[in-house]
Amino acid sequence: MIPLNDSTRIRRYAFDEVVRVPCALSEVGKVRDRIGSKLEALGYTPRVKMNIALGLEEAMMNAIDHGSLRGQPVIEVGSTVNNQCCILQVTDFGGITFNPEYFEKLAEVKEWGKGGRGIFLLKRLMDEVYYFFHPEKSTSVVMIKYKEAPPAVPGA
Amino acid sequence: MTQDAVDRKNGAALTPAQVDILIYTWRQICVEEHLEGVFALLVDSARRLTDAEHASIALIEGSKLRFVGSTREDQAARGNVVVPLGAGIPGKVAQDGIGRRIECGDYVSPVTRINAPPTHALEHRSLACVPLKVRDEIIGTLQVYNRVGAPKFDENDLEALQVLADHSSVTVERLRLQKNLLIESSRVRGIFQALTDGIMVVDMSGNPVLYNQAVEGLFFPDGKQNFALATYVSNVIRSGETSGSSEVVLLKPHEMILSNRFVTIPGTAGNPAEVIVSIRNISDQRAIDRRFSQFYALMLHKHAKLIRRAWKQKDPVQKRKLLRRQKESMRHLISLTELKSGPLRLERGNCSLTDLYSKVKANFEGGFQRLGIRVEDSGLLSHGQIAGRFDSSRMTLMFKTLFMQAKRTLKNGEKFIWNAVPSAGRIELFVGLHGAGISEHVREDALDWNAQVDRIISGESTSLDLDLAFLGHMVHAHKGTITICRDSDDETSIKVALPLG
Repeated sequence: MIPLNDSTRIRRYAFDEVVRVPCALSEVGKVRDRIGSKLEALGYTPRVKMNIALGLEEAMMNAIDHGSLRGQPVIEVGSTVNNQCCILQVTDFGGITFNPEYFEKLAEVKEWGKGGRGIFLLKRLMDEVYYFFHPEKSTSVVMIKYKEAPPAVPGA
Repeated sequence: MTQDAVDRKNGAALTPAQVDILIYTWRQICVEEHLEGVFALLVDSARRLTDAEHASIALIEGSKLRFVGSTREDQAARGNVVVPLGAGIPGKVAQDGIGRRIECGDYVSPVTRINAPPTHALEHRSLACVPLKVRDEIIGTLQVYNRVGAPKFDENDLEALQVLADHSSVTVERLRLQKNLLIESSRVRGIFQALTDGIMVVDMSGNPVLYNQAVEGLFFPDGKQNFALATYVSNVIRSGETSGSSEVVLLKPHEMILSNRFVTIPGTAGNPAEVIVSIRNISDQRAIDRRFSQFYALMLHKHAKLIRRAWKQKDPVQKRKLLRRQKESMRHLISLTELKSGPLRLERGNCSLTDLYSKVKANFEGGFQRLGIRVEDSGLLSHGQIAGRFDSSRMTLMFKTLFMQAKRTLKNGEKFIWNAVPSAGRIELFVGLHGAGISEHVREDALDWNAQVDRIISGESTSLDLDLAFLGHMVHAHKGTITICRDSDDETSIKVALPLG
């Protein structure tokens, strides 16, 4: 049994900032710039900043696509930016489930057709990527980028 | 305690010595933490209170009465004596809650007033047994045996014994419940830890209250902290539902798919207080689904490509070829769907493999002659009719697949050889493909479609040949075996063994 008072190991996680933005591509730049300025202030390197910006753009565009498929008017972006890492969560409320691994492969095998570019990119740009599917309710992608090299995780 | 307090309605009163013993006993009970210690204390006090030779205590367990303590080092002290409720004096007392006595070797039932059984059959000269009650519920009995210096236990003895029983029964019951709870709790914790599913209890702020070893394994394989679990819990709690399920793909770096169910437990005020989440690693199950998805994806893309090529093709011969391949591709898709639905279903009937072979061969004969491929099947046909219980349509497909394989891979002057070796209840078919570089076309791992898809994904190969892989499934469904052997660069043999029954 894990010591239950060791709350550093599993801790509550609430994003520092959660915003809901309209399902419109014009919003992508605004959110990206807002997070970009935080990264700038914390001294993230240009390369890491660029990766985060690209990842966020991809995730938001995917969320806008999927959310708008079900006529949802907003998407949600949660963010925590600190001196250790930048954690982003983009949620659409379309609730469409999919197999991210398949779409990733889709992008790898050229002749299979279009699609999967977003997931393919996210995986390469970010250090950690998780998808949370609540069927018929919401789909979230959580992306983590460390300021420095990420900690080693077995199986990585 | 005053003397008045212990005076009873029948006029019996406790002696000062008995009161001292009772007070001492209760003081000791207050500091005793273990049930066994309380039993020892009670039987010793009961013996001393009544000047008995010895005493014992028994507790009800379901429909039985188990002796759990004794002043003697006997079976009763070890908890090995169990009697049904209603059997013997303690059993009767435990059943109806009425105290009973043996006086001067005689037992008179307080219920029937019948004097029984005969004196010589009684084990004890004198006995007094009183019930242990919590409120009105009987939980056991306390009994003393053989009054020292007197033929029977008097009213004072009985009164003192009943007072001891009345005032200690609550403690006994509480300690017994506590002991059972500890056992139950330990058992539940054992189950909790042994579960392969992760179980986690978190409060509504996401703080962990409890989680088991499987959670540790799922999220901290090497004891390292990561954000996966924190965001995971956060997502579950954020859903704000009383119960539900979700699926998580920890794409990077864990490469793991988790499925969870969660239930929100209300607090005393009815507001959500805790969330219990069960988490299952479904990566392996999903891997099978993924494999099928990949096959579907591969085959559908190839199918679409074929149709595009056929559509553009002007040469009617080439067009027919492409359309034939399209038909094969469709057949594969159907086979795949069939396999995905579960084990292949067979419609077995009596049929002759020789006849099926001959029919298929007749269809291919013209094409083989044009291509100059030589078929040598005397080793098969010389055995006459090879009959058994098979699914004739699938066996026909097996022969077709093998002929098509030969047609596709062999060239002018090359040989396609059939041999059969029948044995008791079994037939072994040897299909030889002799042609230049045949081992490159018919690979030993052709039966393993996973290997083929892996090669395509890794870019090692661009073609997918599922014919033999599907053939393998058909043979296995007939409880047969199939192997591909590379005899040399130019010789490959496919061995199919089938039971005839």
